[in-house]
Amino acid sequence: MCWLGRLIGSGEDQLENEEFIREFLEESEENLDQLDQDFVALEQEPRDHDRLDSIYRTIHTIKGTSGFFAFAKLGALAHSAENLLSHLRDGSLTLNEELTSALLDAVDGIREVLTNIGNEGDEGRGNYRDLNGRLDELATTAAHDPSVTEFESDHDSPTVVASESAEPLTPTTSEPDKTLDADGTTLITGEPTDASASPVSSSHQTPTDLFANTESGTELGSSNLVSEKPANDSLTGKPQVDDLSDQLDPPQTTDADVLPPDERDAVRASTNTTEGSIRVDVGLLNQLMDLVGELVLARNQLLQVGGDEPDRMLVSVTQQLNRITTELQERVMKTRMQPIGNIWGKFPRIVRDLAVMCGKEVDLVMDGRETEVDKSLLEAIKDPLTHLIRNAIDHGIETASERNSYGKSKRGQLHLRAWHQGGQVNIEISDNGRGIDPEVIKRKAISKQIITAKEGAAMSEQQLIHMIFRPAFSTASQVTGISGRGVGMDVVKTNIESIGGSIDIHSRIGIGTAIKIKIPLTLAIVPALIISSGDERFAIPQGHLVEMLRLDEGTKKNVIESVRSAPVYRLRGKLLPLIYLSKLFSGGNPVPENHSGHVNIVVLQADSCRFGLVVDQVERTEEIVVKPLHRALSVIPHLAGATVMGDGRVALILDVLGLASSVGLSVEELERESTNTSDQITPDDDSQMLVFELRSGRRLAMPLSGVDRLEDFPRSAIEQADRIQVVQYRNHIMPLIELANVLADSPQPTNSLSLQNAERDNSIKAVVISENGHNAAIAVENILDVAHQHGPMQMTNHPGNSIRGSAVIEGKVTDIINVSSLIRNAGLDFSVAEDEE
Amino acid sequence: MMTETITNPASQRQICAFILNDHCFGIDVQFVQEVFRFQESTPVPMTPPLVTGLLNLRGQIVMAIDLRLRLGMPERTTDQLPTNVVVRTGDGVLSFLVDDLFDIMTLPNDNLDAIPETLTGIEREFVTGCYKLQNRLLLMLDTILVADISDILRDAINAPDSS
Repeated sequence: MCWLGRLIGSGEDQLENEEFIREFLEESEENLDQLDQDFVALEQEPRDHDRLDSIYRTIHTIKGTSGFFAFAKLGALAHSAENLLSHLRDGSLTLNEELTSALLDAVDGIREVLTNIGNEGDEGRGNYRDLNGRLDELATTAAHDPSVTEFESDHDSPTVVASESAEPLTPTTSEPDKTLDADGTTLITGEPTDASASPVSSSHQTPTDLFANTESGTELGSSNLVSEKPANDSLTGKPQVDDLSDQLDPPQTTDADVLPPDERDAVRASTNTTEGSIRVDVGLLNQLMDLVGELVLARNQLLQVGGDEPDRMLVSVTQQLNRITTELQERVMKTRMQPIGNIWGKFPRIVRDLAVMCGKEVDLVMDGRETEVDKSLLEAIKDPLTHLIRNAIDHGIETASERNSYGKSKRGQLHLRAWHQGGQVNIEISDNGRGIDPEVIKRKAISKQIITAKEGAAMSEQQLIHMIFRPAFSTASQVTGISGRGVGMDVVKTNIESIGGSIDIHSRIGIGTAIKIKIPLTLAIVPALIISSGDERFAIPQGHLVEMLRLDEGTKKNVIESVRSAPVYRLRGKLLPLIYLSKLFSGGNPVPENHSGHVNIVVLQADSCRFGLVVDQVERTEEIVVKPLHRALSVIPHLAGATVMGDGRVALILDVLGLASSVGLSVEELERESTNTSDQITPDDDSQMLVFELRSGRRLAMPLSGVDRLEDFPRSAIEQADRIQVVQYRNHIMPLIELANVLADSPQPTNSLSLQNAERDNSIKAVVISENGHNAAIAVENILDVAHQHGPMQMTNHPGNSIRGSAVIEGKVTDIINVSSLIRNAGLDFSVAEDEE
Repeated sequence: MMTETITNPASQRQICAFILNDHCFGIDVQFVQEVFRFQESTPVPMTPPLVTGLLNLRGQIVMAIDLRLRLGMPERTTDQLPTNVVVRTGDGVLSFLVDDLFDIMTLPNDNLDAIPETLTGIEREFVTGCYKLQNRLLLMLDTILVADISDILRDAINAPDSS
């Protein structure tokens, strides 16, 4: 029976202990995160005594508990930190950068020890003697140092009040109101109540009294101060320090007197915060989520059966179940949601530390910290966000003097925003720093041979800025150490995309940079496109979906080409590599061609690679519950998981990033081929032509890339401005070019479209083009088609002619318009860029 | 002070026995989650034939492997519908497809014999020993070893166009 006894006795004790320790660790972890924030906030506003009290309480609790479990290092660290804090509270010290750094280091040390306890079960090998010494030294020297007063007088008023009253000012303190008045009028401007609430009284009190004080209000506190402590505290700092630390050391008997109110206060605070909420194991929530997923499936099945059932009762019960299940699913999903503020909590500290390190001044503004995100996603975006914040401070925001010379405010601003939009979470990180210079990016990209000078010249600013997401770009800048935004941005992008998110960047030189991230709300249930290939259905997460194409039998032969025996499709001038899902999954075996005669292409975006997945059928979109696959299947890169369909069968979820790796061609190869094969006079983007006709039947075409939109304008919308025809378009006045007139093409020349065709129909078709930010509408008779111009073009040799040349498009001779010349010939001047602002 | 050596349930073991190609095999019942009849499964592309597919087990996705192929035995004829023996190991949940369930039995722990030399036609490395039953031999399988198919799958993926 002995072993049984042991089990019950020490075993349970052990278990209980472990339980306590676990609880202690969990609680401390949360508290430490809060500490980081509190310290940074406190540095900004040293007179925030509530915050100081809360910090003190946390450290004190850790110290007490570490004594209970005999964690010596932890106890020593917490003790030193607490000691230093007590000086801050009684006003004999004021928080400055040095102190904050030391205290933050202490927090880090405590965190380290706690992590070790959590992982290894002991405090680890870390040596914190130096840190302890530093903390103690700061506490004692500052308390002795006569220069403290001087030093502190550089700072805000309350510290001065505190240090002055720490000197033997007992006569005045016997009349607290007067003291306050005197101090308040001379030293505190604007905030007399604040000052009276804490610094003065705290300087004369032990923490115990302070708590009594804050609880019972200022008057009572002040009377406390008068009646008990002044004589004691008007001594110099040193004895006070010893006195304090003695009282606060748990093993000391004096604890009995000192601790209880403090403890009580801590308990009160913790019950306040936990009221109405309980801790739940994440594993349990995941199981709940799984069960709800099953319920959703059972519901789906029942709905299918119920649909065929004439029984009214069954139908109504099914509907009821449907409603409840949907609601339950939403609620359970919500339990996994956490405010994004949980991970933002670390940022003030990071920003502070980095700013100090870089010698910059940065304000962090955070909006929307209550925005909720699934816990697993929150974890996944933590590192990318941290990286972006580091980048913003390191490279984005300038030093104070630099900012001054640009006439900007001395302090840089980093703005973090989060909000829900359309079932997604948006996160924006913007700074008002120097911005990204596209020219610098271009030079660097060219020098790293990522792009050629010719390609660089053709790229827009936005395209250039986006280059920082290119892997090659990042590594290049890492190696050379050139200060730029590229370091690791590709990793950030990959991480965001791996959770089905997207990232975008906008930057203006001298104004700042904004990075916008979109992530899904949750990963457990995702919208997916269901496709079929062979006899099986597959789900593709919709975040990767760009578009879907269906090629009919006739066109299929012409447009699917092959580059180095890899199939490609020319989509709007760009080569789109194709993956035949059935071929891929049959291991390269020949697959019977589907008989419907057409080809379904699902265009997917993975990382920097865009490709087309050829599938048999596109079925529908559906919310699917993502389930993990057996670990052994993780070697198959093309599969991301599985889900259960409404009929109870399993369908595999495709991993779009994994599929992309099956593309036989590299991005560079594709780009080279894209330009090579279409290198006939017109650049690659221009191989697709918008074909239209004039009233005379003349066929004309212009590159599709130059077309903004196709519009129908009612004839009544045509107005005159400065003797040219215009229409109102998106709050702008847009000139209307009458193509037939410019080309002198009309068989019966007339003055005005609006008159000539009035009787035919009431609207005119127009092609809206844009150049240099200006819009113009080209009125045509009929839009015919969008077609490829494959053959060579016969050039006309008249510079300035509105017609660039002629080509055979779809078997007919077609004139190709030179849009710039046409605009000039129509008497318009678009050479000056429209100011966007 | 009690010792662990006196007769207690630990010296016996419960065994789930099943038939594969007329041989009788057993696995320790502690690994067995459940047994159920044949169910249509979803094939997994790019896997060797021994992975027969994925099953929906009340919302849980379970990979099924054909134990005949795993043990190097000939494929089952198409008119035979296999039975699923769902096992749970550290790697996750798997379903072993077997010809038929034989029995659940309790046998002494230490009565295990060596594998007879005459036994051929199966991968011997998976067999830890055997019990002599009344009229047949019960071959005990190393469940964890049998269930560990990650190497086979990795080889299948990495082998260029093996299929």
